[in-house]
Amino acid sequence: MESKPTGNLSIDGIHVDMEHLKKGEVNLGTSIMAALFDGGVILGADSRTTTGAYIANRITDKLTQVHDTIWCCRSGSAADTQAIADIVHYYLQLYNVQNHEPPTTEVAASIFQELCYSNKDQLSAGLIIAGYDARHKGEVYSIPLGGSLHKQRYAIGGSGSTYIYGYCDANWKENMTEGECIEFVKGALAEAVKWDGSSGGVIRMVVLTERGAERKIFFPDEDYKGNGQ
Amino acid sequence: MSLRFIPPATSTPSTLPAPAASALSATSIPDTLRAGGPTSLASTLNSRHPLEARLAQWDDTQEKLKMENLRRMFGVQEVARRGMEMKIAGSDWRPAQLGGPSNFHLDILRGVDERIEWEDVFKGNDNTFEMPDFHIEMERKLKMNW
Repeated sequence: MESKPTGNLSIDGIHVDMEHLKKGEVNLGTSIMAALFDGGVILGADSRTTTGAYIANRITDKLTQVHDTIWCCRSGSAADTQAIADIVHYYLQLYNVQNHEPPTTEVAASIFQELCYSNKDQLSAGLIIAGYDARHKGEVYSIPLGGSLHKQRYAIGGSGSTYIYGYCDANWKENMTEGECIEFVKGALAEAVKWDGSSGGVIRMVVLTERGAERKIFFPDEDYKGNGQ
Repeated sequence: MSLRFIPPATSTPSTLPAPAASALSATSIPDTLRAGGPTSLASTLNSRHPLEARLAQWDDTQEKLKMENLRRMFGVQEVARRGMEMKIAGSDWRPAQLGGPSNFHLDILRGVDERIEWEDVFKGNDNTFEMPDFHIEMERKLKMNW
């Protein structure tokens, strides 16, 4: 007797469809990235949230703060990523109070990874975590859909990232200055937005250095030029 | 031991009708009227709404996540102590027909003593015939239910 596979199973009834959104969920089909430079780290994201073909929010903020200088970029289901980020935010505050020092980026990434892996059958969340602390300077961690943890010099994620692998490979340099890195992230996200239908809107960035966290925003009608204010 | 914060999609039915559904004088015989009418086991287990299991276990799952975080921070003694305090505070008992337990100390321990929600107004105790009978509860408490 034939029965249609339900839920996350793809049509062959055996493989799990990891991209599947649960009913009614809003999709953060996205371009996100984070990159190290000499003196800190930059996170960048587009600002489009879609429910199918409808753009539910064209100025979404996908860069979420989980501690003073630890931020994450969210892609996948908006609800799932917000729930995870809230739990990590709570836990890092508790860590700070208990241990009288701020948590390192590695601690934050480990909590994210454990949450994503333990609940991997119910979640659809791709995250990039980036943070700056005085001892380890800037660090970038990438957690794709299955819940694995990857420490990298720069990371790209989301549906739009597939179009910019070549661009990033060609333009990435070690030990860039802050200005060069802003141009690198901006250029990469502008290319991703050009090709991916689920990415668009403004380009948001957060620069993490020893000065703290600085938000920047670049508008499409100004061709993403502008000083970021 | 794990950080599962999403309730599983299926659940074993947590409420079994056994106590209320046994006939008074012959406790091994099921009493259909007391059990709320003729229902089959199949109807209670099948065709549930997909969200029902998730919602029913939501509070428990969040509580478990919180206890797991506390265990990692402060050790298992913190979790054991909280469980012990809840058990001691839950020892006030009053029959349901007389209003049920006041849960005064339990509310303080759970941190909801200064909160009012709909469940405090609409308690679900307006129909005394749907709640356990006074005599049945007293007999159960005094272990007189042969």
